Amino acid sequence: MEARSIVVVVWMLLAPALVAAQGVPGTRKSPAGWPAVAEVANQNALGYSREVIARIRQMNEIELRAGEMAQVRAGTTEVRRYGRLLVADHAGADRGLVDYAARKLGMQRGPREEIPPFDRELMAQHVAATERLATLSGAEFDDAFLSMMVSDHQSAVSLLETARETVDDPDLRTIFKKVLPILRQDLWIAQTLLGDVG
Amino acid sequence: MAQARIEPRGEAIALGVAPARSSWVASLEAGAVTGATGGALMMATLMAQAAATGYGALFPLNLVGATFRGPEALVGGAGVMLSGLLLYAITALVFGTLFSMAVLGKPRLAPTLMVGVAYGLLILLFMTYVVLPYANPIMRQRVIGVPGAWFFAHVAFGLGMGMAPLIKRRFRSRREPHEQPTILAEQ
Repeated sequence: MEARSIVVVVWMLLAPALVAAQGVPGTRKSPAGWPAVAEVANQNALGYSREVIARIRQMNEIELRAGEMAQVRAGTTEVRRYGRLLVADHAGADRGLVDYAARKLGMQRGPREEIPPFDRELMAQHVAATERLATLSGAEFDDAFLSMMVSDHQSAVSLLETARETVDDPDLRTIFKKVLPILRQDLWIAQTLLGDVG
Repeated sequence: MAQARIEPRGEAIALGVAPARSSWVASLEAGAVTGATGGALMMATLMAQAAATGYGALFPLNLVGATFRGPEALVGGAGVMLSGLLLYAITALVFGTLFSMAVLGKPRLAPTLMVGVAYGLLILLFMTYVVLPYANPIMRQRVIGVPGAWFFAHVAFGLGMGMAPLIKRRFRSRREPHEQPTILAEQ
């Protein structure tokens, strides 16, 4: 009788611990549910990659529009050439991302004009800034354009540095590693030209 | 005393007799033309790729010019492009001369073309991993983003190198008759 009581007590003490160790199926706390956990983790990783790519594509769209405007409205030849460089750099970066997204994430390829903005508020701010730029020309345009490029590229470099360390897929990380030095060069050129203009 | 025979130039190799080397001047001239040929082919390939991707055909010259000016050379004008062209031409001539001087005798065109392409790819590795990281990191950061174009540009350079035998033959044939090498027979 006494032994039986001890067994019951021990079982009553251990049972909650064993149940707690099982955790909730389909989550990280469920060793028994690792296939489900892996699927959930994978979905989370894919979702994060999609989010990062959408942000970068929106950023590319903004720089492309500004670069195209600079080729027409810039006051100096260097700023006009910088506009062309920006368009080529960001179009190239966008192509790489679109290829990756179509291949790995099943995202549809679409022309630039059909990209839905990821952050509508940010996009609205940039549209307003671009409309302001469109009213300027010559040295005023150069100053406003280059200031915008410096702040935009600082944000872009920061975004890609974070994304490079946090995305799961090594292919995507490789893309970011190739694009990041190009963005830093574009930032350097904008800062140098801004110093010349200022 | 060892004996030798006077043989027509074309049979010298078949008899195992080492052909008389062309003069150094002719080799250097041929090397310069070889380098220019390979360099022109390579630059044409790079310019076509740059034009097709929206950078403008002359952008490769800006890239080479970044050796002296840094990133702002990418938006530079005629001065930067000229310095880039000069540096590129000197580099191509040096590599071309080295290859041409290594080409002995009168090898056939097809094998030399293959060796030339291998030489071009060796230069690709040398420039990408040894020279550019220190001399021009701006250019290196950009060319590793377009590995296909960079590869084909060096294949084109190698094909230009492979023309070395043809070019050397033309330079040799321009020499005066009294400069032709002769092997005197033992009487």
